[in-house]
Amino acid sequence: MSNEYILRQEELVENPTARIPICLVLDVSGSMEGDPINELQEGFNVFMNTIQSDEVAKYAAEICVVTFGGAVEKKLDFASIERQEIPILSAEGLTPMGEAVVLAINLLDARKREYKSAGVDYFQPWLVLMSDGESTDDISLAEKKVNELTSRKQLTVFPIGIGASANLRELARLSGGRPPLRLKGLNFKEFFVWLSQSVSRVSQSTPGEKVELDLAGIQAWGAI
Amino acid sequence: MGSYMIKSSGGRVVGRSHLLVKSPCQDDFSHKIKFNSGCIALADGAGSKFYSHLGAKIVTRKLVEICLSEFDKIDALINDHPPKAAEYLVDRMRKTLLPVSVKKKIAVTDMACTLIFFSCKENRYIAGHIGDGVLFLRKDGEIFVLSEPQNGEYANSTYFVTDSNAASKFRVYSGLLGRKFGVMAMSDGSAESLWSKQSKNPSLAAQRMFEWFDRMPIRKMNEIIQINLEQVIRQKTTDDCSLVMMTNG
Repeated sequence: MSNEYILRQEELVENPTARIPICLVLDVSGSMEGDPINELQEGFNVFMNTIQSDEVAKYAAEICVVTFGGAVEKKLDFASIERQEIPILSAEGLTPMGEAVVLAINLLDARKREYKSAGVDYFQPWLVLMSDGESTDDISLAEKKVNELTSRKQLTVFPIGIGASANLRELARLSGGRPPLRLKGLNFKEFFVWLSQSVSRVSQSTPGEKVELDLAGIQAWGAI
Repeated sequence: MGSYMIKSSGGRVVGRSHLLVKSPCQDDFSHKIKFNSGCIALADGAGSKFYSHLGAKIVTRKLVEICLSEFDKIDALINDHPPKAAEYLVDRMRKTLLPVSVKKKIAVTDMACTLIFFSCKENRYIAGHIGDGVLFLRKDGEIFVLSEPQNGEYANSTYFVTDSNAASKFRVYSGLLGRKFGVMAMSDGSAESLWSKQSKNPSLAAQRMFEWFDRMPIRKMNEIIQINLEQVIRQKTTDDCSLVMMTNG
């Protein structure tokens, strides 16, 4: 057939890729000093690089980082991953986990509103919560907000405990029913590889498709 | 409208994600012309339902058959009481799927799919839509969106003809056609290239395809649609892509 009947690229529309907003809420309190913070940093670098090398996920995933260690800080704001600089993580201070989760929820909510006003489709937001201890602030407001959102299927939380001192019962209060997992040793890289693969699966899902997480893959990094 | 001959054409291709795992195309379509009447129907099977391609095939064929044989009845229902028309059409689809589900020992919902249809008779039309996909109508030379996608909050959620509340989500339309008309139904995979989610407008490509169909015989148009689905439209999505058109040009 002659090229006369082949549509030209400029005749097609450019629709934005549907986004998956992900907020990583990371414990950088004093107890993370040393190997834990170094391994967390390396794992996070792997995550960002793996997403960037994925043809679909690099346009779909939008990542934000909130840290809690002494103060609660938005360490990385939502943006296209190609424009983001990986933040340097350092450990210090107490563990204001409740305040960090509330900030993460507010940031995810604001991002959803931006998608809506710009006519960009999006998937259910993810909140990844990682801690090696227990909170030093009140988590009841965070718990209430998480439960409201997860019961309406408006948020998925991945609660991850780091090391033997992580308070999994407290993480469970902030997970909306998903049982927390304990990281095996300092297998941050394995966790972040699994997380990036899960993002890739969701970003390629189509309407009506129920995306199953790779449960077998969890064994490489986590235990109940 | 009588001085023009109605013609229809369509195509579908399996999406790149389904090609990788060797699963079938879950989009399907049907079209038929009968004297001064015509009907096109297109359905997109639910991603996670194993028999959704079968559901898409069954409902599109049944819908075309119903519209051509019961046009006046459905037109009257839509004009008198649109919810009843939606209920009637959804019920007919369910009754068609039910014996298949019994025979295959599966649930009707295992054949979940979206549905778009457009049917004309002389200078009147009826149309219906549940879920994603888009329906363009060209009337008096201008292409506009007759029916937009209706999805849930998230990108991978939509409504299916097999949903328990399908009748309440099934949108129906009726109206009069000009002397010369064209209609194009597409799945969400094709809509990625042909419809702007932000401006809500059809692409120039849609205009081009109507122009080609105005001067091409059906067999040639079938080839044009198929090759553009394969070489152009599929490249902008990982999803299955399908497209069905009808004109009286």
